[in-house]
Amino acid sequence: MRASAASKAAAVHTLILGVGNEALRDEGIGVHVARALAPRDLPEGVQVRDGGTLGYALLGELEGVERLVLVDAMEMHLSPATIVSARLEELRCLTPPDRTSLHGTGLFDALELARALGLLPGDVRIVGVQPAEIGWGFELSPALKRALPAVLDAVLAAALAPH
Amino acid sequence: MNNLDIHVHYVTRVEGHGNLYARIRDGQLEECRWEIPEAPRFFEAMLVGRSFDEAPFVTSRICGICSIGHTLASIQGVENAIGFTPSPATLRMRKLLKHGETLQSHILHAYYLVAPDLVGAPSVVPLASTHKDVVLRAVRLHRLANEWCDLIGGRTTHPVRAMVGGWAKLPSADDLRLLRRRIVEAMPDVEATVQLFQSLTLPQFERDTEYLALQLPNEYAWYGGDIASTDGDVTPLSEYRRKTNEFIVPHSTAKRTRANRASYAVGALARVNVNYAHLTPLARQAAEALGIKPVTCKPFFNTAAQVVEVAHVMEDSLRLIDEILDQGIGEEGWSVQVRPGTGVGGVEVPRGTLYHEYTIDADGHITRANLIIPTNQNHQNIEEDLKALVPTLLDKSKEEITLTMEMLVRSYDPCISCSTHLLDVEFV
Repeated sequence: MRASAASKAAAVHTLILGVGNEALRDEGIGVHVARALAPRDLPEGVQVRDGGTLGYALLGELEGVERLVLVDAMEMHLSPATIVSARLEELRCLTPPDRTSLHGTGLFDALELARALGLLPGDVRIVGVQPAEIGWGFELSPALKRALPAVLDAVLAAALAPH
Repeated sequence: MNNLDIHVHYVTRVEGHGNLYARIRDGQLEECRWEIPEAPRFFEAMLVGRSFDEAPFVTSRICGICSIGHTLASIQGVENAIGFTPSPATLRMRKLLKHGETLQSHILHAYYLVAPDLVGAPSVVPLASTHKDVVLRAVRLHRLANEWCDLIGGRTTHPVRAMVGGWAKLPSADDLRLLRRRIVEAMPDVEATVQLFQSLTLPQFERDTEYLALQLPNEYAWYGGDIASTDGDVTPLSEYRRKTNEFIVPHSTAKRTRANRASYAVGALARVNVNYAHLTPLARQAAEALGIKPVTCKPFFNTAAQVVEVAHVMEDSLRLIDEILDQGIGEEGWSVQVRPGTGVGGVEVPRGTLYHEYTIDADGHITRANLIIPTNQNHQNIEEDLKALVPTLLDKSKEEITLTMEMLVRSYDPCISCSTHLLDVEFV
């Protein structure tokens, strides 16, 4: 539908989805990336969305998407602000699933269901950033603020890389 | 089962607890606790000193699932504080946006979290192969809900167009006609959803309970109204503290509430119990098919009540869209005069009544904020339910008792914390 943006949305083949909670400082890096990329002129068919804490709602976003680039804070036990660009199949999630509440639904739960339904794009990339500070607050830590331009470069590189 | 300890620890990803605990000795339930952390207090502190018009955007980030509800409760609380009355057109559009979120959340909860329990599956993932058509129906319905929220609110979650005083941007008449068509096309999926939950068996556990929900004279209340109790009393929204009576228990950081009794419940079942007379015809049929009539005191039936509300919001949205197209979409832009004061907003979000109260000074700055989320109102009721439920299960295995306790908690879909979704990964 997305009627107002219907013409633009018609042929989205690459979706950049920034996810996370921007109220928890570095946890919201994906949201900051989505916001920084939104005003940019991206090539046709490449769309950026701020996914927030969308969980299973991700499944409704994948129609027609061939390449999904997820941007999120990741606990990789590396030094703060380290950026890692990987394909989904190169990562294993260590957070156990929590089915008590929709609020416990994580990105990997949604990706697993999308795969089981055959809705997962063939090409899923994750740009993960090692957070420096997680805690209440809307501002990124100084380390991640400094790293933001490099994160944007990594995201665009993942989105625009040849197939 | 003579002696048994059940301790389920949830990974909540923020400091605090998220634990389910039961201690059985000599065949008697000695102790039963539901422990939970809380997030919104941080937001209350964050709001102080900010301009009144920022509150809806800040509070929309409290929750990824009820972000529209927080936005609207915040707008209503601020407008009541500064003495602004929105136009009927603005109110209609807010209700239409609210319906989109109700559909979004209820479909996700009923299909992805509860249905697997009812067919004995560990999660929704195996259902994708055994009941693919069912899961794809859920995806279709929630795609409609996402697009609906995007069309009206400007985004799938965390809306950007709804403002204190009006709308930054409104959908066109063509947008609304398109949405209407999509809702009509999705009606067979709604009917199939009712049939699905009619074919599944929900636990019949029953406990006499007080239910609270907003109430309006001529409609099923979602946005504003008085606070009605199934015990019969009605309280003006501005006096919500008389009903919520917050208190603290030692084993949990989240505040709890009680009204006329030791606890009360809010949510879909509370609303259907209170507002049954205002259900749309299709929703009324669904309620009859699913065995809900006022007052139903079966906590597991909250999911059935969500399905009733799915039918209600779909049918009611057709009426709302027709009314909007007939009466006018309204105007973009807003202009508000700030008068210092205190105001309360009350909105029925998927998990129950959400209260936002603000005090605003003459410069338009927030000097005080109080937010009470539905989950905090349900905590004590969940614990009281568990205390009554566990003794009925003592002849079952530990696994069965644990699963039934978890299913009870799940039926309330508590907001344990949608605060962080930090991915913890290793490289393969």
